[in-house]
Amino acid sequence: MDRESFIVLAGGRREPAPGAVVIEGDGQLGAAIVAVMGSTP
Amino acid sequence: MSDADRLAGYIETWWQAIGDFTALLDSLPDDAWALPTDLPGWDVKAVAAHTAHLESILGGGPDEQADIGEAPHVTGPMGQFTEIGVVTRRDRTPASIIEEIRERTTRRHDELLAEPPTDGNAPAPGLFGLVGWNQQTLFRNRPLDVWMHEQDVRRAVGMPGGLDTAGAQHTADYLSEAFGFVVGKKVKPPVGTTAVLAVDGTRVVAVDGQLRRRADRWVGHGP
Repeated sequence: MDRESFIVLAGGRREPAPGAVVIEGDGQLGAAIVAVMGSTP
Repeated sequence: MSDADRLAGYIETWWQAIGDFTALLDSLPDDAWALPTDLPGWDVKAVAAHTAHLESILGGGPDEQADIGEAPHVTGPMGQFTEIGVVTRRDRTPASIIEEIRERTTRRHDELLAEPPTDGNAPAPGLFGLVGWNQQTLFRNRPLDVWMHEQDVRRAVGMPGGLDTAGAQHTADYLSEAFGFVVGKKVKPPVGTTAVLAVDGTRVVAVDGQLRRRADRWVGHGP
């Protein structure tokens, strides 16, 4: 994904724009990871 | 790399992030300061005030107290603490908030250059040390916090940019380190699974079936 999409996602700000996150391989696992990625240290 | 070198790098990245942030705030028209951000309950002015609050504390400013009243977006002690800096600056002008950030950070930057920190494991000063942070955590966190808030403001006012700066690289690298925690502690996939995070311009993070983290290549930064 691009840096801006990653930042808003991992920084817990908002959902990335549709299509900004590409999941390859196990789509179900990928979606589960993306759903809980917000974790600003 | 020694602690001193690593901390010096964080300080330089923080200083650049402060310069980028204050330059952005300087460029905003007055009506932009009331625009809402992605942070619940905070407009652009609140984001700037929060940054001024933290930098003031770190720059030797006074301990601030305020009645934050009923604030539905405030959850938990940390939220209560950060809201104080917003409330105490509510009647201030944008220019005075920018000036406070500049004045406090300039003083602190000068002090850090004159007497650089050398021990990353030493407790962070004041309140930051009380919550368990050491110097490494504090100095590494400040560029991330400032740059994230620059981006909060940019999204709020519709001025995208700043994605190729030192603060941007630092933040993307830092946040990507949490991938192992996200996969291993939150998702907990079956043993044998490998999860890979690939973000433009950032080192790829792969977590294997035993949830060991490794970085093996870089992804080119897209346009």
